[in-house]
Amino acid sequence: MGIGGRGDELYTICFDDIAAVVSNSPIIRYKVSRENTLAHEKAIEEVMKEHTVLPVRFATISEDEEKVKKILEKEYSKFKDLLNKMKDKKELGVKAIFNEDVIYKDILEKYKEIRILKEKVATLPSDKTYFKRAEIGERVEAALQREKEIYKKDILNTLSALAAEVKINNSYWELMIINAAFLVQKDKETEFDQKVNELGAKYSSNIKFKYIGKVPPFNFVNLVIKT
Amino acid sequence: MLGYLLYQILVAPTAKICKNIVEKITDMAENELYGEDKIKTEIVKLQMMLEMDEITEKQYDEAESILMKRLEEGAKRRQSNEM
Repeated sequence: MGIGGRGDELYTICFDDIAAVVSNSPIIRYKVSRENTLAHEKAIEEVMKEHTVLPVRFATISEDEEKVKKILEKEYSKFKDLLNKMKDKKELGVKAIFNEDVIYKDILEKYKEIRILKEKVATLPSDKTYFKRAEIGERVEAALQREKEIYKKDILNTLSALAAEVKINNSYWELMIINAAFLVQKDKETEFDQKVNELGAKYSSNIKFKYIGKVPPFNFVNLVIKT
Repeated sequence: MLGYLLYQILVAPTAKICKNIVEKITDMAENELYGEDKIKTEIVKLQMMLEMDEITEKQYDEAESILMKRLEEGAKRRQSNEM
């Protein structure tokens, strides 16, 4: 299950009541490809089934087991505090994008000035409208931004109250309204599920949601360990 | 941005400004293709598209391998520029 496709097995190095889950690896620089990061993620998911985990940054390599043990010993109280913080909590990911066809139609309907500009440009020969068309593009982009903020606010208002912590990530994708992770107490998970479903139903015509509930809590713990 | 720069070229009074602009465009193109942050941003966007089922795993893998190659090529180019 280790990274690199060599079929290395996972095992633990223990100190007191905590343990590091490791596998053998040559000391190399691993590419941050999906194949490699998925191997890392899958390994953590397996451990998560039975234990509280603190994900360590992808491709953290130590020279030998002794060093790992020393790290566990030295950082013991920090790790214990974090484990307590993460106990009985789950990271739930919510992502939402606009349905591309619908949102641009909605914008034209809602923003009269863009619609008028567009209708005007359509009557002119295209070689005379370069700057006008650029202006339309800019205005549509600004409108899209405004629309995103409106929906993002509603989604956050609906879900944040049920979470112990919220982390909003950048998506680098113009259609994405929100890319957020919520750290939720396990006994509130059902209620959280329900709220996400309600949002999905409320916006079924123009927004596509993705709800992810089994990933490691990378957004709330991602230990960077110098080895 | 590129549109603006081209416009500047058309009206630039001296060859020197022209040269500067050409260099600027070359830099921009270089950055567009091999800039580390640019490529990483592209990869994150691709991951999002895959997660939202807007592209298939196959499409993702193909695009990722192109971007990874550009990332490596960019690192090489920066290294040889520094030398």
